[in-house]
Amino acid sequence: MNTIPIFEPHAHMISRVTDDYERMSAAGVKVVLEPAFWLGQPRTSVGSFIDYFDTLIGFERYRASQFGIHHVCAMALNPREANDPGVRDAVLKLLPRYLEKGGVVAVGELGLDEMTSTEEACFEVQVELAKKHSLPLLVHTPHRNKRQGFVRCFELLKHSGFPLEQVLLDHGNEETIAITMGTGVLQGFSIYPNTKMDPPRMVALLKKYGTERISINSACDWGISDPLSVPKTVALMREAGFEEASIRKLVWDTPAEFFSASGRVNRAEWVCPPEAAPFSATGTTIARGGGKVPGSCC
Amino acid sequence: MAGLWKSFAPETALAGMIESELAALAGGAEFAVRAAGLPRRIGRALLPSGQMKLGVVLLERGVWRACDLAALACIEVVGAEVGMELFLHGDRDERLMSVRALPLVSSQGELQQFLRRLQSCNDQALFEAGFVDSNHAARVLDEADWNRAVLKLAFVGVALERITDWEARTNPVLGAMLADLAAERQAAGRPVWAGTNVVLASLDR
Ligand SMILES: [Zn+2]
Repeated sequence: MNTIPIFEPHAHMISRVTDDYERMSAAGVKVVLEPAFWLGQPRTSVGSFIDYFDTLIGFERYRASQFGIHHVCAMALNPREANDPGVRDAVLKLLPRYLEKGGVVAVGELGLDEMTSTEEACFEVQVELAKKHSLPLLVHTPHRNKRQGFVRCFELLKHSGFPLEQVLLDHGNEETIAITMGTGVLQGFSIYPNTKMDPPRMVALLKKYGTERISINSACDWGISDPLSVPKTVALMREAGFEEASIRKLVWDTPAEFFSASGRVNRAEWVCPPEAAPFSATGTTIARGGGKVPGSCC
Repeated sequence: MAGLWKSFAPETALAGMIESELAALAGGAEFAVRAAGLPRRIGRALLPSGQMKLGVVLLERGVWRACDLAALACIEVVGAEVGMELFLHGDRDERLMSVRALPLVSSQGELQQFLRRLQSCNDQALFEAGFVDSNHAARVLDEADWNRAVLKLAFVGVALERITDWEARTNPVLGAMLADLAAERQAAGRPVWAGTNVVLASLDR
């Protein structure tokens, strides 16, 4: 049985069905972080971005709360659509407003995809936005030409002067960990069912490098992906004899600390179910059918 | 009427924080960007309870949060149209602030439109905030909109006592809608809304 709370730091829940929320909740997921990314195909107007951002901070958070899961976001212009001059500047202009929202705990996914100069320019603009809004960064690294793209992201970050401890450099693998180990960066690994990094490979990597400054996620979206890949990796880690404390560090302490460091959210509230329910006449919140008062489990 | 927020008689500390928000706006800060931070800066503490009458408006002050009052003060300055942005593009906190504040600065037509939009809101807390604990719905909705609103309140199980002026607005069409809902629930073996019989009895009188 899994008693360790799980922070899923990279899940595109807008693409998932309610069954996924139900299964994640049953597997111990208490918080999901949904980074803004693309929608599987390019958007043709800035209005589509506005509605997407509004859904992430609105209905998606509400939907998660119905399954006892806290939903927080990272907001950014993703590197794929950074290459589209039809939307790029307008989306960058929108961001300051969304980066002030209560449940927005990082700037992301920014990063590189095809490694164009435009992607780099948008990367730099968004690093400055993160400084201005006192938020950490969630950085997407390319899936093709991984090693070179990863190195370039890391160079851009070092050049920006942004504190590396406040950067989650995501989608790493066995090669990239050699670049980032010991640099202070939080090293993210996306675990997929059969391509890229899978649970057995991840466990092997954790055996070699330990769990310090490492974070794992499912990066589940519309493609072949598994919203339970974090709890499945936890189960494999147990079989492999990892201590509970180091598992907890990996899937809860590290991401919870990283995404609450801005002070935007109260980390203590994350282990209690979120408020999904109406405000009563006295303004306190009661669950439909008479649930408990928020915070009463803490 | 500017300065409406002062009618809520906020404590000195809260009034001071609201004045600094207004000063920031006067200094050129963009409300759309600052609004999201109001709950963090001003807080969500509830105001003291008590019925208030502001012209034709009746409301319960005790459901208002400190940040809601700050939002009202700001929206009085930037106008209802900018305030509406909070509802359209805000998170739950911002949307609740707009649901509290907008009815006090909107024309009757704007408020009708706003409540119509809110009627379809999936988040029950926000829907309720617009339709109960004030007479906004009772004073501006036409009969068809009013009936739809009360039916949804009954459907989600809000207590009849929280629907301000329900007795004055009750009508036979609403009575038939509620009777249908009760029959459907009974047939399904589910609980019937407790207000049903009270409303039906009031129509018989
Ligand atoms: Zn992603």
